[in-house]
Amino acid sequence: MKIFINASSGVPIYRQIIQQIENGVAGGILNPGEQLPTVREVALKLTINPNTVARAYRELENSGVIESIQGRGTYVSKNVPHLSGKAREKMIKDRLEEILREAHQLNISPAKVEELFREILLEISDQ
Amino acid sequence: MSKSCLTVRNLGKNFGSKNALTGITLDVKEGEIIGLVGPNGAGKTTLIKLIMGLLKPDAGSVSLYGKDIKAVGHDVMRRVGYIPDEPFFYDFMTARQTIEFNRRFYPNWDSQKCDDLLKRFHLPLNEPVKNMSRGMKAQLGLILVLAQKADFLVLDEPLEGLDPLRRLEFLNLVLEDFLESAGRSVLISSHYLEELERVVDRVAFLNEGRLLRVMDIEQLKMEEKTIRVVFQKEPPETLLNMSGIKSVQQEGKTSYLLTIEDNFNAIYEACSRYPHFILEIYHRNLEDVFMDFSGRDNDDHK
Repeated sequence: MKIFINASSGVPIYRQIIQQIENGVAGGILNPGEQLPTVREVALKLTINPNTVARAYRELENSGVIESIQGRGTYVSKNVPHLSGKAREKMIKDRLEEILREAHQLNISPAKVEELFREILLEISDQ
Repeated sequence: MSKSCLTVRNLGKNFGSKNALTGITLDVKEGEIIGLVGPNGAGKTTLIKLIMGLLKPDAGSVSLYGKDIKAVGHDVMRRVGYIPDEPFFYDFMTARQTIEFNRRFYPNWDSQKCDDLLKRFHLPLNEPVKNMSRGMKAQLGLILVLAQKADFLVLDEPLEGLDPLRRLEFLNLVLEDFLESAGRSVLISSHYLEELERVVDRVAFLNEGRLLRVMDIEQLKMEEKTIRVVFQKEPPETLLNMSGIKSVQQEGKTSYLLTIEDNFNAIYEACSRYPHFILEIYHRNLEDVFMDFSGRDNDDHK
């Protein structure tokens, strides 16, 4: 999987790596048991600090997404932990909240928002 | 706690009546890459020259690997690879002669590495250095310090005059070298903030001869943010006075622009708990923070 880095983004580079690998695993681009490139390979490929890559790998290991086998390398975990129902709900709730605030600010009435919500829901379920 | 390869304490330097540097205290640890940034005339090159013992300080001290620079021997200086802001070569020598000349000074000289690098860069070995482009000279300069097998690279504006591709190529070589052994360190000054951002662990901000702040780059990105918040009614003063808020700009009756340098999560939480219409985060990068420290507000050039 190719990793993209936006160095001048306000998001720390190690976070960008974590997010992309997590998404890669969730989206099936990276398969359980698949080997990941070494810290050295990633650092030189992207021209980034090796300590940054090591930090991303360390955190991914702590959260169980990847595992490193001494002397062999780093692999995608065989059983990646899934987000709990609560965590998933919170993700969506936060996004909805953001949208509702924006709607308020744009003077769109709650009734209109509800109408749009149902409309989009219908469109999606039709597909 | 890892050891330091460089220890600078209360360093000061005057040129005539002008204070070039005042009260500089800085450590570079073994195993880290540190960036030195600041506007032109901030004192970066003067600081580097003091570190290398090429200038005498008027106050304070510099130590390399625990040895005071005033008493440091060849054994320590050989561990330091230095690229000055204007690399010096004998113009009449060819690249080959320049290499032969330099290798005599370094008992650990790595001929294999030197040859590999020369091949990689396709440098014209038998042309006088004066016929080489700025980019080629930069590459030759880097080959010389890498073949020296230094543990600590001190690079003063090494990316100057290189095109974007060459800049990344140059940094890749520095990273390769850094990866070779665990205790290697790099101090690099540059105006190319985007490139610097990729490779450093920490950044030191210098302005008008003072070291304003040394920050972990990841920390900088996590904590340095601007929040725009429009409250539904006047917020309590304690909110706007939370520690970590660097500046508060009032944009409207209940709308604020908060520039944050620390404690971001707590401040964001506090804002979000208070009834508001808008709460937006603007991420800031090295360049934004650089502009702050250089005393420039990006409102000025609208």
